[in-house]
Amino acid sequence: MGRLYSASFDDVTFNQSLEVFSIAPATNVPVAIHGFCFSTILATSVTLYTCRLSRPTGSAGSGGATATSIPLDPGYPSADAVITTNNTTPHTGPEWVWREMWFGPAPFELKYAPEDRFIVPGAGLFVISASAIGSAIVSTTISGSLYFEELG
Amino acid sequence: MKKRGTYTAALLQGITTPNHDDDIIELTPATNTILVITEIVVGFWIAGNDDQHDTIMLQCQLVRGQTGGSGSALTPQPIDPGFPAYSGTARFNVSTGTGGTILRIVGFASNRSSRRMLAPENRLIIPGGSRFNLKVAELPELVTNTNYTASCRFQEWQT
Repeated sequence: MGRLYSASFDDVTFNQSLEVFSIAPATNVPVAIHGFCFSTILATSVTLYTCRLSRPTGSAGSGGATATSIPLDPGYPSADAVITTNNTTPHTGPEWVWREMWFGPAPFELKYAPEDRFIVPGAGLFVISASAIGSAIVSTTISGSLYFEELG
Repeated sequence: MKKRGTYTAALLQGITTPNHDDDIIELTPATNTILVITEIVVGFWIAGNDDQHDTIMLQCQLVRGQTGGSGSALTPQPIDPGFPAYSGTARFNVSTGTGGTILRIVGFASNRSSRRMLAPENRLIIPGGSRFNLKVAELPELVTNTNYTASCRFQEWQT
């Protein structure tokens, strides 16, 4: 078992599309994605989204903020990976590994069984994004958390 | 048998409109391999429908051994880049096929994703030379413009 971390953000403006989490492991320190969750404060307005996971072959997105990764065991050292949240400019060269719908007024959460976890190699990149579907787009705010393991 | 890896096949957002008896996703294992289907997620919505509060139901069949029609290529990706590339083939939006055995019938609601995670003892086995089809079985009569997102997770084993 490697070292487990969480990274969170709170109450960020969300209109059309965001790269909710962008995970950039350090060289020689691969990362396993254990799961993630996010939710809006949408009330009666129904907006549909897709949640998409990508292992980009191009460059990282931009416009977001660097999150502080919190070790789940306080005895762990600081994480080597850089977690960026809510990039507004998407990455290039997407290689989609998963897509599914998200019903906006409900929370969205994925947790992976050990054998199903996506692995991000050292110096690689993995992106979790959300995009609105259709015309009924409502401005809201979004909050979320990521759980990951450093394997190096 | 030796496990080659675990892979995902992710359908592009909203570009496919399979109708009754068409397939959303088709997987064809290579000779001397088998596929183990572990997870299926399907979401769909009605394009141009301004009232997305309305929920409709879709019934899908999980089919083994169907002879497929024509479709578009899809490239499954390994969940760990250290795995070898998937050695079989995959397609999406495959026109009506024939034959095959229905392994399971599942319902999916619109405007959200519905997930089917298969317990280890219930996972679907697709031998080399056969096919796996996620097939649209029943759509409401009035629905003529359905858009899908869908993903499938599966293991590939060398026999």
